[in-house]
Parts: sequence; structure tokens; C-alpha cells
Amino acid sequence: MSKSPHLKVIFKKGFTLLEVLTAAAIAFVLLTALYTTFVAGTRSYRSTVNQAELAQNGRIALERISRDIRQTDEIVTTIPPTKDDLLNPPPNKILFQDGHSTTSIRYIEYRQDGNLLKRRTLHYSFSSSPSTWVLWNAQDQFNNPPTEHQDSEEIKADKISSLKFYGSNIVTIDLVINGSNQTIYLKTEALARNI
Amino acid sequence: MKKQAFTLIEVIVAIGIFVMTILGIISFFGYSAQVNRFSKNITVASNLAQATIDENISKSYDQITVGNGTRTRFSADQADPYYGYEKKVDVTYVDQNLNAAGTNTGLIKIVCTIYWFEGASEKNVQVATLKSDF
Amino acid sequence: MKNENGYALVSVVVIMTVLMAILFYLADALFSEMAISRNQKSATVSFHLAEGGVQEAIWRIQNDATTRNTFLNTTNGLTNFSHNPGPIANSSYTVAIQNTAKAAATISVTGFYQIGGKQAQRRITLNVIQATATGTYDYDAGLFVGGPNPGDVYIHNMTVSFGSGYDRAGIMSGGDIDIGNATVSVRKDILANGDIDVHNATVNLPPPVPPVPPGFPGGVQQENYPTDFLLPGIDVNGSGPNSYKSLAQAQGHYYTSAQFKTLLKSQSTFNGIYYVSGSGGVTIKNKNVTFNGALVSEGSISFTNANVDVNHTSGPSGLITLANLNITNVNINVEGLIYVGVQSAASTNANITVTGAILTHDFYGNNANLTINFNKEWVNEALQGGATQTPVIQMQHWEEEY
Repeated sequence: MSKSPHLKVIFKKGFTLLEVLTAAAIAFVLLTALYTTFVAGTRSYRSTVNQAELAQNGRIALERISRDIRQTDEIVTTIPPTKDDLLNPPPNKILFQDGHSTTSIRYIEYRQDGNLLKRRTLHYSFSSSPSTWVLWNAQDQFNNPPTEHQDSEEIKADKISSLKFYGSNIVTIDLVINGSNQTIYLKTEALARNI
Repeated sequence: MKKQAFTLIEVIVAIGIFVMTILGIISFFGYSAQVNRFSKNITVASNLAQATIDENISKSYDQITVGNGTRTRFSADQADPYYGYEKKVDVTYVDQNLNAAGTNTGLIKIVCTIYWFEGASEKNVQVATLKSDF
Repeated sequence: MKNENGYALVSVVVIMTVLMAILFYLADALFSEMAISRNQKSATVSFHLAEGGVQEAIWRIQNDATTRNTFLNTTNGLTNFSHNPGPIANSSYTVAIQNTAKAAATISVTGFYQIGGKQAQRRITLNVIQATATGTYDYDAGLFVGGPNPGDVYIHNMTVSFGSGYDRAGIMSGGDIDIGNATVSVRKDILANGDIDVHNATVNLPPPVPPVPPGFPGGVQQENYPTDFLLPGIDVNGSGPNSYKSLAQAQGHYYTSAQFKTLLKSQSTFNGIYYVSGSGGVTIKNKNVTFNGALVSEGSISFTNANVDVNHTSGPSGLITLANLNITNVNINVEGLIYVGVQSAASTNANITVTGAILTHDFYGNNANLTINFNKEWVNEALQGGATQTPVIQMQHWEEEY
């Protein structure tokens, strides 16, 4: 009638219902907690990465545009002095002369195409002399304007939902970047120093 | 028996450590949103600082008011995305060692500071340049 | 019980590992983003520091005797200076003023901003010249491009003529002269320190008027002219009472670019000397304006689709700018001096009549009619003896190198 051997056998071979339930409950609670954290973690990660990508697009867009505008010799596009004039709304593109090019007359245009920021380079010439690059407002002897030729086009940033240029003395660049339900507003001003 | 099974205390302690780790991780995720917003705000502020400085240097030398400026909000409209940012422009006459000079030396130092609040603490971005009377 | 803990432990360990992985990637993304954001801020700060250095260099050229002497009198002198710390904490910059000719130099500045262990830097260069020739304008040139660092005379698709009934004059260039598809009739010489290139064009030099001497020996065309043509100095914004700025202020005609723009909305006739300060300059579009006196602008002057008259009434008259003069689709009649610090451009359907002279750093003309009635007296009246005060520094080609 020794109880020990029976008990030992019970412990080795099986579990009581209570133990199973307790263990299962604990496991359930733990796994739920972990799963919730996991979901929160991935959401947070995605949101951070998305926000960072939006911010990075904005930074690049503003930096490239302001650098080029600072260097320009002439801004071709007429921009309104403020952004609020409904009769004269600010354009989402801007054409200006490439200030880095001292040997030939080149032009740069930044524009918003859908939600992409595109930068293209252009030159103007007359068909009678296609290798001579002239000013955008030059005229030949018949008072005809020159033809525009595109030299390159690149996408500089995406997720741009709004791009505006305005200002009287100095160009204000107003940018809204949007993606996955997050929005970033960025704005800066660039003074053309070669004009 | 002690070698083969865990006591209840050990289980509770283990669960406790586990819960604290989880809480720590969760709070980090929450903190990450803040850090992200802060780095974005630095970008917004440095672009606003650049705008303010460029605005000031486009003026001619004698049109720039010398002295400490006042803090001005970018917009009075709470819905404006730049409502939370304030600017302050301080202009001082300086000499060839960039030390403050009392009189018009023909060289001014322009410092633009953009302020904003990150939660309860105030942050700022400062950009400085010089302008000469020529 | 051991088996239970085994299951729980294993799944906990597995999921914790996954979580830690997410955490590390998240932390990595966060810290990168923070670093990028800070770097961009530092880059902006160092850029503006570099610009400050350029301004200090200009200030030293004007106010520090040693720097000024090197700038004005040497052909390849070098002045270096730096500030560490700079105007704000963690900032510094180094400056080099390298002469390229007498009274012409390239200023190079690198600005530095320290954040944590990293340093951001930006570099800017700017070419500066100072027109210092004093005394009267003695050249018999109605179109004059002068140094230091002169540009060229570029005349294409144009008709250039010099009015008879006025003093004899021609075209002089400190650089080259490029005439294409044009008819150019002068009443004296065409001289260039550089080359003269005439293609598909007619150049009419005046014939001698006997008896010679003492009559007129005839006009000559000569390139590689030995004496350098130098642009005379002009006192635009000096502090003395005879600078254009002071004269305009005395008349109550001193405006910022924005103020003048507002004034243009209500006024088209301007009597006296008008001075517009700031880099914004003057832009006149789709409007007819009359200046009975002078328009002096620190920034560029642009006329588009306009009729512009500048009349000599009493005292100096003309158009004076330290930057560029752009004329597009314009009928313009100027009595007096057209003085352009950096460049002048006439293009697109412009009819230009100048009674006086055009003195500029560079001339680009395309598709225009230019009539010059040379009047040396009015030129000298507008130059007012030239650089009697500290003459203004003129800036060409600002470049953000990196």
C-alpha cells in the first residue's frame, strides 16, 4: 500500500485537467500578448518607414529645386506674387536657365506630373542653325520663335501631391507629399543669386 | 523534483519579466512615432530657416533692421501646417573678428532661429550668415 | 509541467526573436532618418555660413587696407582668412580671395557646421570686379565693353548705326567682337582687345574726311588692340552726397524693389533720379514708362513689351544697373548713359536708340535695331567723375560648387 510509486507514475505519465487548462490559459494569454505586440510592431515599422520615405522625397525635391533656382541666370516662367490669388494661381512647374552652364544656353524645367517630380533639360534653336543654342525668347529675321528641344528628363521624387511656385522677388517652393494616409508639408524660399 | 519542475514563483517571475519586456518593446514603438515626427519637424524647420534667411539677404544692406527681432508665428491660422513654427531674426553689426560692434561697421551678422514645440520641450534650428554693405 | 513550459518557452522565444528583429530594423530606420534629417540641416547651415564668408570677403576688400591693396593692385595675389568658431556655435569657414587680374578676383569660401562627430561642408565661389578708372570717359566709343574681366560684344541679326550730327564714335571691346548676320555702320573705329569675327555681315567704316591732317583719317577696325579697355567707375551707392543713392534719397526717390513695383502700378512718368535697392531689381512689362532723369538699380533692370523713354532734362540721366539689363520686345529711347555692371542683353525685336553711350561689362544683342548718337558730355555728366568715393563691387557668376 505504498502511495509513492502510484503518484510517481501519475506525475510521469499524465496531467491533471487543471494543469492542462492553466497551462493552456497562460499560453493563450502570452501568445495573444505577443501577437498584439507583433502587429503593433509591424504597423509601427511600416508607418515609420513610410513617413521616412515621404520625408526623404520631400527633402530631395526641395533641395534639388532650390539649388538649381539659386544658380539660375533667368527665370522664364512668370509666377504670381502670392499663392492665394484665384485669378492667378501658382503654377506647378517652373522653367529657368541653367546657371551652371556658362558655355551654352540651357534651360531646366521642374514640373509635377501626376505625383512625380520630373526635371528636364531643354535648349532652343532655329532650324536654320540647329547647333546654335539661343535664348528662349530669341527671334529670327522673320520674328519667329525658336523650337524647343528636350535633352533629358528624369524623375526626381514621387508621392508629390502638390507643388506650387510663387513669389515676387524670391521664389517660394511649396510642397505637399502624400502616401499611405500620411501627409508632409514642406516649404522653402530660394533667391536666385545670378539674376 | 526540484530539478525536473518549475515552482510557481519561478513561473510568475518569468511571466513578469516577459511582460515587462513586452511593455518595453511596445513603448519603444510608441516612442518611434515621436522620433520620426521630430526628424520630420527638423526638416520642415530647416527649410523654413532657409526661407527666412534668403528673404533677409534679398534686401539691400540698409533695409535690414539691426537689432534683436521678435518671435513671430508663421501663421495665425491653426489649420495652417506651419502654425506650430515661429521665427526670430537677430541682426548685429560685427567687426573683422565677428564680435559685436556698437556702430555700423558695414558688416552685419544675421541669425534666423526657427522654434517649435516637440511635446512639451522647445526645439530650434538656427541658421546664420553675414551681409556686407558694398 | 516541464512539457508545457517547453511549448510556451519555445513559442515565446521564437516570437520574441521576430519582435527583436522588427525592433532592430525599426531602430535602424529611425536612426537613419534622424541622421539624414540632421545632415540636411547641417548642410543648409554650412551653405549659409559659406555665403556669409563671401560677404565678409567683399567687406574686407572694401575696408581692410591690406586686402584692398592686394585686390586692386596685384594680378595674382591671394588673401586667406578664416573664422573658427564662426558666427554661431559649432560653425566655421575659410575664405580665399584669389586675384585673376587687377581689381578682379575669385572669392572661394567653404563653410563648416559640426553636429556630433560629423561635419557638413558647403563651398561657394563668386567672381568680383571693381571698376576703378577715375577721371573722365575719354573713349570715342558709343558701345563700350570694358574690364576688368570684360565680356564680349555679340551682335547678331541686327542693324547698328551711329547717328550723324553727333560726335564721331565707334565700338570698343575689352574682349572679342562677334558680328554675324548684321549691318554695322560706325562713325569711328571698331577696336577689340581680343578678336574680331565678322561673318555674313556688313561693317561700314567711315571714310577719311580730307584734308588729313587735320581732318578725319577714317575709321579703322583693329583686333588685339594693345591698351586694355577699362570700364570707368561710377559712384552708385557710396555714402557721399554725390552718389546716386544719396541724390535719389535727397529727392525722396529711394525705393526697395517691392516698393518700386507698387509705385509702377500707379505711375508711368518719373522725374528725377530714382534709386531701387535690393536684388529684386526693376521689371517693367507691358507698360510704357518715361524717366525724365535716371533710373539706378542695384538689381537687374528688365523691360518686356514696353515703350521706354529716358530723357535728359537737367542733370545726369540714363539707366544704371549693377547687375543685368534685359530688353525684350521693346522700343527704347535713352538720352544719357546706359551703364551695366555685369551684362547687358538686347534681344527680340528691340528698337534701341541711345543718345549718350552704352558702357557695359558684356553686350549680347540679337535681333534688334540699335542707333547710337554719341554724346560724351552726357556720359561724363552721368559718370560724375567716376569712382570718387569707394566704388561699388560688381559680382559676376555666383557658383555653389558643392
